[in-house]
Amino acid sequence: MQITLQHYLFISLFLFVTGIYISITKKNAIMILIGIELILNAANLNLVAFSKFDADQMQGQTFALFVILIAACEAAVALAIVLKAYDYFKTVHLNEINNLKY
Amino acid sequence: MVTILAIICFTLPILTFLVLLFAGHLIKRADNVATGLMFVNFLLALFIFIQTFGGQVFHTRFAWVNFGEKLLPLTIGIKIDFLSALLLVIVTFISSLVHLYSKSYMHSDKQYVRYFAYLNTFTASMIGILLGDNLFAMFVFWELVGLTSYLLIGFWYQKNSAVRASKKAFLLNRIGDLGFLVGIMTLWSQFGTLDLEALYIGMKNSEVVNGMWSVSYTVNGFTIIKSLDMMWLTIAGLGIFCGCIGKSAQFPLQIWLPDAMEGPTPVSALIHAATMVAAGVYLLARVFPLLDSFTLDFIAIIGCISAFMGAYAAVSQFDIKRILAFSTISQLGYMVMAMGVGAYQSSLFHLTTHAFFKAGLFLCVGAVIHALHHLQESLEKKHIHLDFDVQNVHLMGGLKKVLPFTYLAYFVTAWAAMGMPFSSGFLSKDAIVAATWGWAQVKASQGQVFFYVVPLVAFTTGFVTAFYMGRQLFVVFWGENRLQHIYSQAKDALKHIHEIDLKMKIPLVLLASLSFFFWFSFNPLSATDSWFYHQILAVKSVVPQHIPPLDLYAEATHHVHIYAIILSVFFAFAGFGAAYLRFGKQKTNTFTRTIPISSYGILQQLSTNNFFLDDLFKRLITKPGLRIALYISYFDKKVIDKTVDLMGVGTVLLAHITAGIDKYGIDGSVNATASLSRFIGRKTSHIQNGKIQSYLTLAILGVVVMGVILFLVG
Amino acid sequence: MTIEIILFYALAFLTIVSTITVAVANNILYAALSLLCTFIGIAGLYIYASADYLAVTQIMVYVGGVLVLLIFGIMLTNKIGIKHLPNPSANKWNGFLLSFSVFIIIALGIVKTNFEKIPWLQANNQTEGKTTTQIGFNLLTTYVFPFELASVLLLVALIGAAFVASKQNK
Repeated sequence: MQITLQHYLFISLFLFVTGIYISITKKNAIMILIGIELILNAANLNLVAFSKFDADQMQGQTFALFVILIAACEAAVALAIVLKAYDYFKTVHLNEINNLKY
Repeated sequence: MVTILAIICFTLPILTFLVLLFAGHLIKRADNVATGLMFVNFLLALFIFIQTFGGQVFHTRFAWVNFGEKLLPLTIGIKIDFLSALLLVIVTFISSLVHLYSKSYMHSDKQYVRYFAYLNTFTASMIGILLGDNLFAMFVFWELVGLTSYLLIGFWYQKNSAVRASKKAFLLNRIGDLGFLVGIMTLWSQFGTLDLEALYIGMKNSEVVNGMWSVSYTVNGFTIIKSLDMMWLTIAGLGIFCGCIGKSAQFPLQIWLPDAMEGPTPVSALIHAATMVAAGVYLLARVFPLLDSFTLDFIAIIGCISAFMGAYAAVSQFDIKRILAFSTISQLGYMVMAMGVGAYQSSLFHLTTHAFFKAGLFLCVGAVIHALHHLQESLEKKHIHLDFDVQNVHLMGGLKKVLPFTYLAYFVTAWAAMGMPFSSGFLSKDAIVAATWGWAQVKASQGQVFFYVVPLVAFTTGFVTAFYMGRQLFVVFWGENRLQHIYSQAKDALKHIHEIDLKMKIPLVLLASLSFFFWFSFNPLSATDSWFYHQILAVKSVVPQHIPPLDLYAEATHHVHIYAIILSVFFAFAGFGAAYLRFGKQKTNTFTRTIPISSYGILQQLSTNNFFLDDLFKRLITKPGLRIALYISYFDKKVIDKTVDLMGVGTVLLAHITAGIDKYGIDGSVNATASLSRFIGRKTSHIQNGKIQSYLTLAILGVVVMGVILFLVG
Repeated sequence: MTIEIILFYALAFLTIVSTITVAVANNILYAALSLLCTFIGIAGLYIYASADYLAVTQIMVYVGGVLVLLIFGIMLTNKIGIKHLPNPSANKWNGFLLSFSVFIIIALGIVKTNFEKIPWLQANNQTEGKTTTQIGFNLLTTYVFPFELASVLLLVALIGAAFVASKQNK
């Protein structure tokens, strides 16, 4: 049997859902960053999969390249923020940070 | 001209009354002013009287209230004919004599001026009755006379018995007036007018067909036909007679007259001898043509009963004025009886003579009372305190030695009251008893033998009249003075009794002289040919049914006249003789005050207690009336007040409930809304808990929901 | 059952298992290291999808950069000297339910889509053509604008991260 588009899509879907799961349930802020990376990777995989089955091959891959770029920047900035937040709140567990509570 | 004089005659006493009432204490000698004005009044009345000789009638009338096109207007007017002029003279004459007498009698009274004011207003009211030509005016003044007599009887209002007596007089008058009103209303509804002349004409034109009494008359061109059941004819007459029963103290409303002796003696002379009680007979005279034979028979029976009851009760009275009060009832019974048997002229003749001799009797009695009062006062000055009832005959006796003038006047007037020959009273009373005999004969010839009881009673009452008048004479003036024997302090009492002064003597002289026969007739045995009978003409009855056969009565009377004279003289002397035998020879200790009334024999008790009529009234009417009033007041207090209280409580309760609803319901709902909002807010604000992950969860949940919806829709 | 298919399923298996390990690991470091495996798996899948340049870039940037960064972060935010780095999670079941429902929805979408109808989609197995040069060529002609913008972004991110993470005296 051939590897069709759906295979790729299901894998990327699984990554995406797991990324959501991690973002929602993990208390550690770093874990949430990890989850976000997973989501981004899922999107990347999706893009690449579609570009494979597309006549114009490079579009999806170029886009995926940019996504990787952006993800890296974002991870850096997010980590800086997490460190700053850790300095201020003395904790990385997000359920303990509720200053913006009603 | 005569009318104007009559109006002056009427208004003069009213003016005197007003002046005396409001400014009496300012005028120097108010009593002289009043007496003088009343004497002027008398002269005016005398002038008018002379003008009416020969059948002259002065009638002025105008329409007072207009009711519209189809109804007759209410008219008022003044009618002066011989009858009203005669009574006018009597009223003003006796009133002026009473004024003169009162100057001496009421001298020491504190309310002196008020007394004269009341006398004047009474006279004015009486004149009002006499001058009116329609039943409405007569009724108005009828009531006024009742009111003023109330004022006069209760003149000494500080005495509780006087107040009660005046109330009794007024109330019993009102009961009679109720019947009077029924009569007036019947006549009004049938004839549409109360003018006496119109009533005569209307009654003459009416007819009784198939049991319905109907009359037709035209007003402004409209023909009006009125029709009633024929019994209303009799009811009208009986109703008007009820007014007479009340005013003239006939059976059964006679109980007010003895109690009315609580007023001063001159008042009794004016009111109860001469004028007010005669107003009833005057009324009967005026409506005489409207009465049918059934009514007349009823009147005769009532008059007969009253005559007998009055005389019988007078026999055992021991208050000197009460004897005369019952005598008045009896004589009024005679007058009413005379009207009933159709002896119109004789009744009015007796009215005239009775006015004079009864007034004279009262004034003499007043003189005796006055003398005894002076005795009391002079004993007080000697520091002897003797408290006795000056009106009790048991304490009198032998007064003819010390009051000779009074005794003489009394003797003459009593002679007339007993109906002894050569007195005026004999003429009139004899005419009446003859008329009753003739009437009974006519009735017997028609098959009603029962009516013979009336002349029988009339003659018997003559006997009793002479008996009690004689008793009073002997007990008061003959024998020895019992006061001196009963009270040891009054040993030389008789020496202190003085004869009355001139002011009181003049009226006595005049009235006593008028008790002789020659003023009224030159024939001492019969007055039928006298000026009186020529001026007062017999009237015909104009009723359409049950016409009384007055001609037959007159004829029968004429036949039995001479026998009636003999019989009545015989009975009078018999009565007087019996009184002499019983009382004339008695000395001193026949009567003591210590015999209680309850130990009298039953016949004497009946007499003293006036046939227990007072008790009967009290038991039948007064007590139930008071009890009903008590029940009603009880009902009012318990039920009505309770209801009002309950309503009050209910309103307060309602107010509390409303407040509660407002506080808990309305405010509560508002508060509940606010609480609900707060609750919802608080619960939903928990969404914003500051945790990022929950926000993220919700966002993804939203996406899921959108996805589900998309799937379901598309 | 050619070797390509088996290879594909192996890579897929690796990726998925690593992902699950990331999700359920008790230790954060274990999670981070599983993430490393995930990245490698994904890179493999890129190669399989004829995106060789991308795969290498992925490994270099993600593994060499992002992952190291994450581990730095883990190290810096935990107490020194403790043995066991906890990885607690909250609301596991809610999250699982939600994630599963998202999975279901999108999966249904994938399944129901008829990919034959999309005209520009055809199985294209050519791997020839140097992707690197192609991408390079595209970057400077067709996609030059995003390229420049990306460089600006990198600058901004660099400065920003440095600024934010620096210690400032109050």
